[in-house]
Amino acid sequence: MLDSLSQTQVKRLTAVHGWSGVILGLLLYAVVITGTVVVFADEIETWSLGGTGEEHSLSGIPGVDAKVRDALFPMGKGYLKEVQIRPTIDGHLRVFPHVHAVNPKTGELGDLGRMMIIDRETGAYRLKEEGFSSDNPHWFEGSALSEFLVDVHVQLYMPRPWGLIVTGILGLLTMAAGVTGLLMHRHVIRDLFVAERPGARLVSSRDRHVLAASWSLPFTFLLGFTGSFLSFAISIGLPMMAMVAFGGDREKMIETLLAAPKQEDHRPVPSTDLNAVIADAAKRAGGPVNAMTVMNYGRADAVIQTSHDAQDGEMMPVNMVYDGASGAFMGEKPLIGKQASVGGTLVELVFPLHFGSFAGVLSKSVWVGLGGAMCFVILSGLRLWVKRRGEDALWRNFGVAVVTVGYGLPFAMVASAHAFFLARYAGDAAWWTGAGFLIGAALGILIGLALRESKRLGRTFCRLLAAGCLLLPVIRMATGGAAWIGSGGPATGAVIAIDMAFLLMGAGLWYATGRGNAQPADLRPEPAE
Amino acid sequence: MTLGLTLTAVLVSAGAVAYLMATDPKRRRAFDRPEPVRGRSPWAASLILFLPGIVLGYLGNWSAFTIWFAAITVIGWGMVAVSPRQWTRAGNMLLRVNRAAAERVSMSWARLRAYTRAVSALSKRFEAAEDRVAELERRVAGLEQALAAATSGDSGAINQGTEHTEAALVPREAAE
Repeated sequence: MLDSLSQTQVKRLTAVHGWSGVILGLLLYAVVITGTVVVFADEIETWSLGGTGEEHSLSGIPGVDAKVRDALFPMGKGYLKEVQIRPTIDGHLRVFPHVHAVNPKTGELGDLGRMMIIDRETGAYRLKEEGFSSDNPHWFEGSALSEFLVDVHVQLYMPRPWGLIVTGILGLLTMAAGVTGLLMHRHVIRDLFVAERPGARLVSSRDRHVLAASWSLPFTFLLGFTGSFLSFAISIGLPMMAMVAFGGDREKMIETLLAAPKQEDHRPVPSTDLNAVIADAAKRAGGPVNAMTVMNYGRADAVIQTSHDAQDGEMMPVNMVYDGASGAFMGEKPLIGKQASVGGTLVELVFPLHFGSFAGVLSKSVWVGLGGAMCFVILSGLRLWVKRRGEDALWRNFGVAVVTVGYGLPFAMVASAHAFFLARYAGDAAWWTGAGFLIGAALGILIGLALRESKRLGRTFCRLLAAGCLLLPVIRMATGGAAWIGSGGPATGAVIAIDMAFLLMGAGLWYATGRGNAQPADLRPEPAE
Repeated sequence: MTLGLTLTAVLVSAGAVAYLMATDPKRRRAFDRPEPVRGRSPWAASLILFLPGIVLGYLGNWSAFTIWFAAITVIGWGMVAVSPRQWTRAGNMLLRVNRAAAERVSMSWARLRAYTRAVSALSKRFEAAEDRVAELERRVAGLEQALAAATSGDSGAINQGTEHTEAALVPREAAE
């Protein structure tokens, strides 16, 4: 990129780029590959539930107001301070009146309240339990698989705040690798159209890595920055802000940042008709109400916030605010603060840019492509490093570790999905999803230790992965998931699409490792050119 | 709206990437392709590459702009990562598939035409069969009449019946 850099500077940059990648690259790969999958977290949730429910908005649930009134009366313990109302993935109504309190088990601020899931047609209670949401994973059992994958992506399944700090550092590493790579490579533009040169030489590996890295550089930087921002904001930024500006009172900070403005007034006043609010908000926002939150339900200072997807052509989701007592429309509310600001808008932009969810399946599909490209960059970079140091047995072993993690992680994710479905049938899906992942990972490590030869290892993993993918739709349907046609179905489009994706992936991997087809992952060492 | 705009923008930019890729001197050198390409205009192609983004920005459709930008980095990489030899092989395979498909279509068309002709001939024969059945029924009725007259012993009637039968036996076309 820069011809003015001296040989020594380039060497230093190469060392920073390479060693940071070698030390943290595999962890970064774990974060990126799970992030690539959880772009479709909502769809995975629908799929894992075997969903036939088409309705995922409050606008489609009949008689929300009456159901909420019944659920909230009588209600003590101050839970009416904040009432979350949203549909479950299978189209029923979830009502969660709660307060923010310190969980004595974790010492962290959590949501304490009464979780109620109400049947959309009959109004009967499908679940009615009280406690901290973090202590009751079975409240969200349907989403155990997507929650687990999100947790691995966000904090590597580590306790807070350490997991978030690690993923924040990995985000910084991504940006650092992008910048050092750009500075090291002097001919980014000139090499932008040069494919991997033939001959499986060292220069071929370099071409492969440089080409993928150059094309994906803008979004690698963007995703690294937004990911790092989110991790550090939750783990360090917000607690620090609470300490500095709110005397350590996190709840007050959350209220100030997120809640809609209204003068405090404790007088009891009947709540406005939520059905009318839902209908009006849907009309104003140009889309259905995904969820709503009522602050101080049944009081004169009650405020209702409705949330909607971004409108066509826009990036940001829409939030509407209503007076909870009179039902009067109070205006649109930015996510942070009471009025729109440049800072608030920039922070709001971080979410759609990182999640890629602003234009539904279209943007999500492209974001999966970006994640796939990033995974390719990480693995090809590690392979290049190993190939350059092929004479050393230590690096050859590291090469085997790269193949093991490269294939083993997707295999462990598929294993966690299998465990989720089997456990849903038998019970305690939340625990078994994590256990399934660990079992898959342990099996992968054992295979890696047993074979220790990249070519055979790659082929074995591909076959295992293919079998796992091909079996997943069968296991899903066999354990009570909706069938494509006939009894128990028909499944929704998302369910069929994900089933098809697994079948295609499985068939593709099986075919790719068949006789006469290209062999994957050859990490045999080669002297440097 | 966003979907249509995004797809159009991505198609236009992908076309520009394809042109830049196919005419890139370093790529051609690396894969032993003759160079340079006459009349190559990389600046015009680069302008076309970025033009959809400018248009989307001007329209204020930031959602489509972001998807276009992200998609072109992924699709561009996907296109360039395929070597010229693999592109040629894929093109040849596509041509072979295309030719085989065209042959099949042409064969199927010929067969369809043969079937249509056969069905049409059969339908004409069915139509003629109705007339023939009516003719035969008329003849049978005449013969039955003649037979009845013969049984009653009335020679006149027999003669008349015979005449009637003979008349009935004359083909309709001849009688007309």
